[in-house]
Amino acid sequence: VSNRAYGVLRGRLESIVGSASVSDNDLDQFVYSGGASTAMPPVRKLGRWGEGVKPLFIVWPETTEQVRDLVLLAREHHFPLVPWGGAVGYRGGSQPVHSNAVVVDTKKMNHILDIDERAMTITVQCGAFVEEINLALDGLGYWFPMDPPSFCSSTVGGFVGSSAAGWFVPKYGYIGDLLIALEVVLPTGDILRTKPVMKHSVGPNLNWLFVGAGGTLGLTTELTLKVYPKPAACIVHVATFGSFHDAFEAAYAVTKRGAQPFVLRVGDEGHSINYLGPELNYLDLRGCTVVVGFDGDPAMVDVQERLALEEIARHGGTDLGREMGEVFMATRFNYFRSRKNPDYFTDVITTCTSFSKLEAVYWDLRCLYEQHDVYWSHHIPHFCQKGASLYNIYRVPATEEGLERCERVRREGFDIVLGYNATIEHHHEIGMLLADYVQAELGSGATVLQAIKDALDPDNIMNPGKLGLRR
Amino acid sequence: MACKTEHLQEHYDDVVRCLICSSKFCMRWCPSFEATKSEAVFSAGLNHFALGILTGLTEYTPSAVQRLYTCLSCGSCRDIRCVAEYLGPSVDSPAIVQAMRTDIVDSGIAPDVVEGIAVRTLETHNIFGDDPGRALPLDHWSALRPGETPEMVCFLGCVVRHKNPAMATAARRITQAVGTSTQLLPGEWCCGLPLLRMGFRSLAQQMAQHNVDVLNRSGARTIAFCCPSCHKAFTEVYPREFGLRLVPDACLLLEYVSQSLEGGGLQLTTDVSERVTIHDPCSLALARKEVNLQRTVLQQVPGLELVEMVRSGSQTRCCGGAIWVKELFPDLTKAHGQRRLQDAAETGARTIATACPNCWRALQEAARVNEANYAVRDIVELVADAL
Repeated sequence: VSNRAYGVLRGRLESIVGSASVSDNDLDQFVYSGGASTAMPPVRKLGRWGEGVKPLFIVWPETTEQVRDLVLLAREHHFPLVPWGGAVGYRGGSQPVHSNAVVVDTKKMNHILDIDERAMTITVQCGAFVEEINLALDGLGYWFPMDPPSFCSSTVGGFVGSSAAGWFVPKYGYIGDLLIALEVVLPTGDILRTKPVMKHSVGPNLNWLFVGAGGTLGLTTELTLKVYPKPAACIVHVATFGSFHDAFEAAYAVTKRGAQPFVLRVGDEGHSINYLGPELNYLDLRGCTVVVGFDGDPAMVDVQERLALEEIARHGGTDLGREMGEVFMATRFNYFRSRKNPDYFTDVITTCTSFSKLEAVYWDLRCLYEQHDVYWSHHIPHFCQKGASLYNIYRVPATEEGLERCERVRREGFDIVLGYNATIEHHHEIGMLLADYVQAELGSGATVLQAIKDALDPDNIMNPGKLGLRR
Repeated sequence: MACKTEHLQEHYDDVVRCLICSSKFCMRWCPSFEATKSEAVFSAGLNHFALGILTGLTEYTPSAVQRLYTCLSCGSCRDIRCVAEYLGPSVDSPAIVQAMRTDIVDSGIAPDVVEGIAVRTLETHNIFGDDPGRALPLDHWSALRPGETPEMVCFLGCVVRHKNPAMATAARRITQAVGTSTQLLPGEWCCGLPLLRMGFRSLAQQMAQHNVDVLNRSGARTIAFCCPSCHKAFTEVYPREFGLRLVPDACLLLEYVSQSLEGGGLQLTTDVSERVTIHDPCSLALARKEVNLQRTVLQQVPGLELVEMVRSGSQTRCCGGAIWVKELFPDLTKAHGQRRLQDAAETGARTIATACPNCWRALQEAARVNEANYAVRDIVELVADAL
């Protein structure tokens, strides 16, 4: 970019968002190249920052109209826009891949626009953090039940882009399920607003087009989301089992009998030693585990609790009591205790499959990890009505050899997962790190996805190079 | 741009410890992030840059150097929600930033504005560069007879010495009411802590050495500090950094007030009839985890109704009063002040009490710049009103 063109572009950006909301500061450019937010720490420690390149500018719009004007300017001047929410997706979804990119940080778009108590919905701008949303709802007796560890730094727009999950999806669902309506600035500059209705039959529900799209099809600017009354009662139990199979069967029985836990998790031995034990500050925790909890009306909670305890006992489990459940709820984000050794780092295969295949996928991945000497922890964080996610963590030394082993394990692990027709990624973004696997995952769906991208974004300006789409 | 890295290298492990956390728990609590929404100005962004420096992937360009001075050194990232505490102590990101600034200063590439603050402090012995002759006259305080050593020396600090004589008057009235023979310090200089924060380590040491020498020669049994930052400098920072130790006992003036109230030496009888909200200074509420002292004192002021801001106590919001931010980024300082005044407005109080002269100055300035009708008072002043 010539100096003159650079100056002109800067002036145009400033005319849209104001001079205080445009930066080409070297420190900002370095941080927004994405490394701080997306690469795993030991990768940074080794000085390997992935493919992120410094953007030309970072801008912070405040309104939908400003986003639209940025899109129109990008089309006119042929530069890519890279949406940036909380950038905690770990897969490089917010990293610019072109040196003339402009990063659009959405965190100034964090206003609560409307709370409709009767409808039990909240309408917010895309850059709001869950913590901010729940602060606004708290006094009214409602809450928004997305609860990932990044509750304080993920934006709701980013949730949509990465098709995110919280800890309470067994009852409350994923971000796509919690979504009533969207406002999206399309890559042409047109603004799409879907209707705030729970369902319609007028063609496909277009909300879902943008869930998991990683900001490649448009920039989500406003969302109407479901909120729920704060539960009058909430109980959680932690139980131990002699085998992964028994723990799995107990959770399956709870689900099959129609109970609706807000949290239902299954962990193996590695999960107890390396994650759940340190989280609970109960370092003697051994065996496999089920964490099950119910919230809502006390009478319904009571019935479901009894049902769950019956199934735990029937499958040979030992209930550690409500008190341990309370500790779990209070310390569930203390997973940093499991990362005590900075000389190692962890990566993860986060798959999702049906109940009929899940145990087989688990054992194949576990064998792979043991074969490569990287076994660390497996658990099912989201045990839902018709299937479950399986979170498989492996640990390698933070060395060049470790990184190579990490990539070998990931590649071979994905071969296993795809062999079962399970997914390569359940709830993190795809970004750049997993882009090469999208074709294998989607098959002819990848062609459909590219065709949609080409139709909506003829100039390829919206977060190019992500999700396996054209750079 | 070639730059030294020797101070930053000492913090390598902490830089990595910060970056192990990928969830940015501390981001929302950083006042600089709150004002700019930039991920480059809070701890993870700054530590990412630090690692870039240490691994040779980036360098200290003039604009990057300037950006490093947006950090207020308030410690919100370290003290409010740093999850590294599960792995050991919280990551001291302000210390990492200070190390980078020290390398920058030692390499002679600090911003001119920052150099200017350092030079004028060295010349005038106060951070504002005010004429030393126009400081609070020492005869403002009760004079002692020749040869007599005071029980207590009151260390005013730059703000009280040059900007807030009312606080000095209040302190004098209180010590007189208690009957403690107290003297001001002839030759008191800036404590030097702001210089250290800006990276001027040797100048800070020079200031510290002078003050420690004079205080140790005073013969006083106790040094009472009006400012919690000065107190922290002499009791924690300088012993650790420079091996300098005060011989007399050191306390906050507010601690002296609290003890005097508790012991019955100080009695408050005048009704002040005010609704007051409290702004907790970072140096007290975050660094020292002290949130009860200021409330205990205020609750003993007759007729005073204390109302809390949303962000108070151990989750206080920084006033934004760091002098380097004020002079390099006035709009940012204005935004910090405006945000804190908004917190105060939500309480319905029109008086803001604080226990830090620098916060007093910053909030006064914020009220003036934002044309907001607030009285900002040091807690010691409110106590003196009730005598």
